[in-house]
Amino acid sequence: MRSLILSVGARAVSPLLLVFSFHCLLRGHNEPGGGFIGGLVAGSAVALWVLADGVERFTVQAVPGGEGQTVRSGSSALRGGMVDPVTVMSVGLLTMLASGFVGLALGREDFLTGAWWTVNTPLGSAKLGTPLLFDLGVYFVVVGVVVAFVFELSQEAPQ
Amino acid sequence: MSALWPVLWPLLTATVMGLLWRHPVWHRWIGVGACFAHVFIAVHLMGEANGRGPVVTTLGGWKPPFGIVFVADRLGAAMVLVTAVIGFAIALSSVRGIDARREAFGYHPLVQTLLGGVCGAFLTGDFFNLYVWFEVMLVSSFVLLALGGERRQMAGALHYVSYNLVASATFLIGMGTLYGSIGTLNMADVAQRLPQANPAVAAVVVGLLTVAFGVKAAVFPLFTWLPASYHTPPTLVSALFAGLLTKVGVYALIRTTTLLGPDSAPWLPGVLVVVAVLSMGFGVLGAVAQDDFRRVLSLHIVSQIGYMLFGLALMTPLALAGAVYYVLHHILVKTNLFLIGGLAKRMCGTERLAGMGGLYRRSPGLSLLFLVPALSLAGLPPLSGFWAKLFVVRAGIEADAWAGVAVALACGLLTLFSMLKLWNEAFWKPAPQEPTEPLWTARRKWMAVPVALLAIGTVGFGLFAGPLFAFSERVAEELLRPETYVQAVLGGSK
Repeated sequence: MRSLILSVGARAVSPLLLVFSFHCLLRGHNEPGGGFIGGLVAGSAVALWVLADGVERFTVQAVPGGEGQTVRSGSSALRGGMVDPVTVMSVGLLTMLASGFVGLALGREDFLTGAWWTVNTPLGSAKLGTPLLFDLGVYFVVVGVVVAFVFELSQEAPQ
Repeated sequence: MSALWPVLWPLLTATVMGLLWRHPVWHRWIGVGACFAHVFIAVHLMGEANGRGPVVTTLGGWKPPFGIVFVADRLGAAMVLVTAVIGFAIALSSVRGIDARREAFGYHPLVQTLLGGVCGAFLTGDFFNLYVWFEVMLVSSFVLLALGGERRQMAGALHYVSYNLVASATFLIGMGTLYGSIGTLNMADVAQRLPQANPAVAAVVVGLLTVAFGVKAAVFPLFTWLPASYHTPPTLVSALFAGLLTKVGVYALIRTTTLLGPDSAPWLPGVLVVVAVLSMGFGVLGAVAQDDFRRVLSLHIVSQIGYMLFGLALMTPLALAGAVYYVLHHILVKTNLFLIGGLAKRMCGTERLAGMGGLYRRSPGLSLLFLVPALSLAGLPPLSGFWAKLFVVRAGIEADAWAGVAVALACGLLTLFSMLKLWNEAFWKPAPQEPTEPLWTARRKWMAVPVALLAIGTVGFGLFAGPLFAFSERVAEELLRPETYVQAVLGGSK
């Protein structure tokens, strides 16, 4: 059963949640927040969408006996142009690993040693560093995991 | 070289496989390539640790005891090297040995994360980090065990998961107590400070850690999860688990006993001797009573762990060297036996000994490949198991631990008996019904390659027992002087 109110509401709220998740990610270095929380918030935006409009918005129903469906891991085919949640997770993991190597490449002490740069913008200066990159990786991993869960759980059980 | 590489490499591999999630066929070859490179990384680290002493890596440049350190001393580096070899053998087997459905659900990346977790546990120098690597390893193994969702797999996974969760909780409680009493979790720092703490607290901490590691190592009486679960997943998964997982527990016991034991828990060796003797006895008696190929092998793990612990408990240089040699030999042999069990199962269509048979007549080659690790496990000269048992037993005689020596020798005979039982039932006796299909399909030939490689490794382990034992003695020497380890980690800061 679809609810019109929820559907319209989700359309308004989901983008806000995505913006808020990014806010959480950025403030995480000094205040409560961070990649994990941000990723959960972003994941919940997608979850809300799936609840409101159904998972068909994102996936094509698996055709029984269709090509590749029998061996494919649970989730049915994604609609064209959609990124696989597992890819999002892997990109996140790669980002985390990469953030560890930055310090090493710059000749800092060891894996995961932080490297910081000050960026001057017209609005003021900001410090950017590899911990933010690491957090971004966490963000992607969590988004990927949550979206994968939501997609799996909202599939019809196979007959 | 950073001591972190052997840990990062499999995790990086798993991530790359994740990017190629929809192409499980590519995972196979990525896995083989990555595991091959892993062996070289491990050899390199081994060379450094053996030549210049422990390699210490501080994560993020945070100095110990505040940051997390990775320490590759001789023991850690040797364990990582054997792990890499086993990983390569399994990856090679997995090219043809695992069904498409399990591959699609991420079998190959899971093997890589398991290897990463195992290597992490061998190299970390921090108790909490050890817990984290245990969890990485356990979570991967939970999924590998249940992957495929067969009914008996689920039953096995339930035992495995529940038992190991209790062990993890025990470990965690132990660490909470440790941190609450002395405020540090860095292993070297703990080794320095625990003797000054309240002896009762120290006893509780060491006791809890020993119980937790004892469950992972599957010692008597905490081993029951092992025979309940190891025969349920596909053979490749069993082989990987049988080779590596319990040995992580043994490694953790060796590490804590040598680092904390002498000063903080003088009672520990006494307890370990009793546990070791009981594990040897009950494991082998259980194995003799089984009539299923992999169940026999699983229970032998328990018995063999007993030998290793016996060496550890005696705490003399010879005994410790024997225990280290035993661990390294056992990893190769046990993985190989499980891989052969898998081949035999495919050829006979069953794992129950009553239904097997005729393999010797149909394939003398495979029979020979079985005999190498089987007789090595039973301890026949000149194979590696003979030397391993010889060193441990001789150390027992020198330490006047006559009861332990007697049990060790009796268990050796019973091990030989049950290996001969496998031989008679699966290989020697005529097949119950005449098989129709050809024995050596292309897939089976491929899967015999890693078996042959490991068998050559076992023979080499026996032939070069001299240099390898000399190396084990150097490991033992390092273990018996924990000051070296402490000094390497904490450096001049103390």
